[in-house]
Amino acid sequence: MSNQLFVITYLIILIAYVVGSIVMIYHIFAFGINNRISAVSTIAYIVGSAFLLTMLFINLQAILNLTN
Amino acid sequence: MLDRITGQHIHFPGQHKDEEVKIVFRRAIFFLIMPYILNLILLAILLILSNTLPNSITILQGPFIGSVFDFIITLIVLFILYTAFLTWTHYYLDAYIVTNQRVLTIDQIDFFHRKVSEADIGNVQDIEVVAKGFFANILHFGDVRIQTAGADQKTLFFDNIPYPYKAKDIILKFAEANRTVELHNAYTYEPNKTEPNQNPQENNTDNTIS
Repeated sequence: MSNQLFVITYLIILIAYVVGSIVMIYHIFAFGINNRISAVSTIAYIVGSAFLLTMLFINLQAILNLTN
Repeated sequence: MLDRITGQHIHFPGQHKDEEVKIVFRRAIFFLIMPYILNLILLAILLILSNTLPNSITILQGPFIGSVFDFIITLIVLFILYTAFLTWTHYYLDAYIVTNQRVLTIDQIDFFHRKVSEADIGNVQDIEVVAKGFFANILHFGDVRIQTAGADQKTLFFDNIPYPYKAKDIILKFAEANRTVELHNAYTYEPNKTEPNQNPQENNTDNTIS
């Protein structure tokens, strides 16, 4: 039960984060006036997000290993 | 500073076919840096707490609670990254554009909430500069209010742009250039020069009746 709760929490965070990020990136490319700046900032954001989401996943795995 | 933000790569939604972007103004970098400094302070506090709290609170030294604590810290860092990008998005999407035809203000109020105001650059009549406050005067930023004449009389606001006095001169220069071009076009206009008639029936000059 505890495992499921952590996994569901992680998935909700992941989905909310991805949806929010897609909305922002859409706005940047749809209404931004310089494609080069849009691309560079988006890549930096995606790299940072991927790193932190991976860290979050590693933490989740550590929690799941301890609850098993 | 102003020269750096001009460029050939700039295209905006709703740009006319023969319209050329002359200069783009944004809010002063101060309004981007301040939220980032707050974010950095929050991040520093978080890092300090994540290192010191497990040493002082014994519950956090347990493997399970320790992992949950790390999870929460990472989550907060992710949230800080998200808000930082959100701040950048709002900064980046607000723009004040001067083209060879129009003056535009693009204000991204919220997601899916956008306000665009524009005026003919030839109608720019009066420009007022307001630099109010300590930071505005030290860091050289301020508001520029552009009033237009003619039928679509309105006031456009360029809020907190860097070097507002220089910006005012640049906008007036482009407005004057536009008026000169329009005046030149008006003087060189030939009213007697008619367009070639498209209807061949009317071009029939011989008096034959068919």
